[in-house]
Amino acid sequence: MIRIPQIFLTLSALLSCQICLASPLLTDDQVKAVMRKSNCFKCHSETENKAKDAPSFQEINADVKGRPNIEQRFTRRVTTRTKAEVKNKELDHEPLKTKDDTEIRAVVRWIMSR
Amino acid sequence: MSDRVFFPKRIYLKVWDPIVRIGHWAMVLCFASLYFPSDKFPLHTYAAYIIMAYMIFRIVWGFIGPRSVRFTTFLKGPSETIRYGRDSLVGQTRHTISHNPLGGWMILWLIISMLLTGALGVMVYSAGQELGPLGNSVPAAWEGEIFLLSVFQYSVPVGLKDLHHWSGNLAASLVTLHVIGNLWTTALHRSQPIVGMITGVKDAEQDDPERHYYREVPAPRLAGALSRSVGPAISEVILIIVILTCLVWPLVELLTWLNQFMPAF
Repeated sequence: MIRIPQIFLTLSALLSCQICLASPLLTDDQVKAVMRKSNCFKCHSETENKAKDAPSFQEINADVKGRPNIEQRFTRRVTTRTKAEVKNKELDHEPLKTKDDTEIRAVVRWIMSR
Repeated sequence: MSDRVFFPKRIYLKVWDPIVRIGHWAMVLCFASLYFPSDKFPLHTYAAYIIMAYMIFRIVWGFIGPRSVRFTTFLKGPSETIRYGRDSLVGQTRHTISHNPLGGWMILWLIISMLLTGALGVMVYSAGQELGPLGNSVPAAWEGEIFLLSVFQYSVPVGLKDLHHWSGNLAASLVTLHVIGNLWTTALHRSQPIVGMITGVKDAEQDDPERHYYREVPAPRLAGALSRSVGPAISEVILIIVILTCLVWPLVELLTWLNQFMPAF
């Protein structure tokens, strides 16, 4: 007969294993597909690219390194409508075209890992 | 007598078919949607796809469509086109039922410039964002540089993005010239090409040898009183202002707002 604390312990152990062994939120290609759907690469590139009007994700990441709450700030930036200055012109910085938390979190972590 | 020489008796003919009229006004809306809020993606791309699809259709329609839209009807030789251009500046030109010789060439150049701009845009979309019908087949480096342009002792990198912008600006200049040309025609012939493109009915001279190819209809009532009151040229300017401010602008604003819900492919 299995007692309730044993079931609880087993479930907890399984859950912990799952968390530890969990793969990244999304693959690189899946993250890029979400970003492409939102036209992120119209202005930004992964690494420095003079053809783009806005800084690359690598440059953005280097710029904010060491600041507090970067993940929350990035999340706010990619989920709310804000303004961006491009070539001395103020443009709308549109949010990601997804409401899926996993996708949003994956995009933010992808940017932070550049 | 002079009235008869300059403005002979007019009849009204059904000239433009609904496909061309709907296509024309769809092009106005699409061009405004992609040119004015040019930073809005993917609205810019979807408007461009519609323009390119219509331009390809218009080429086919120019061979198999009704008489007024066929290239053979309105594309004239260089001497006739130059004579028409000279006469429209310093003399009296003959009124044509379909496009006049200058307008005919403008249609062809508009089609070419729109298709060229669209093709370059599709390549930029692929190189810069790995999107669109070409996917990721265009090298990413081409977005910023395909070749170096040497001007005096300077070397300027020219990429697909630059070519797309230059071609787009050329297309926009041609659109502006097209509007000016229409107003010029209105002043020259006391004709109303914009009313014609809305109703399909255009005026013609009674002795025009082409008139028998078209069905005679009553004069359009649209803006008729306005035209009689302020003259056809002012009436056409008012119509352009009304169309742009009351229809095109609000619709572009709406599409720009809807852009936030449109995913890119």
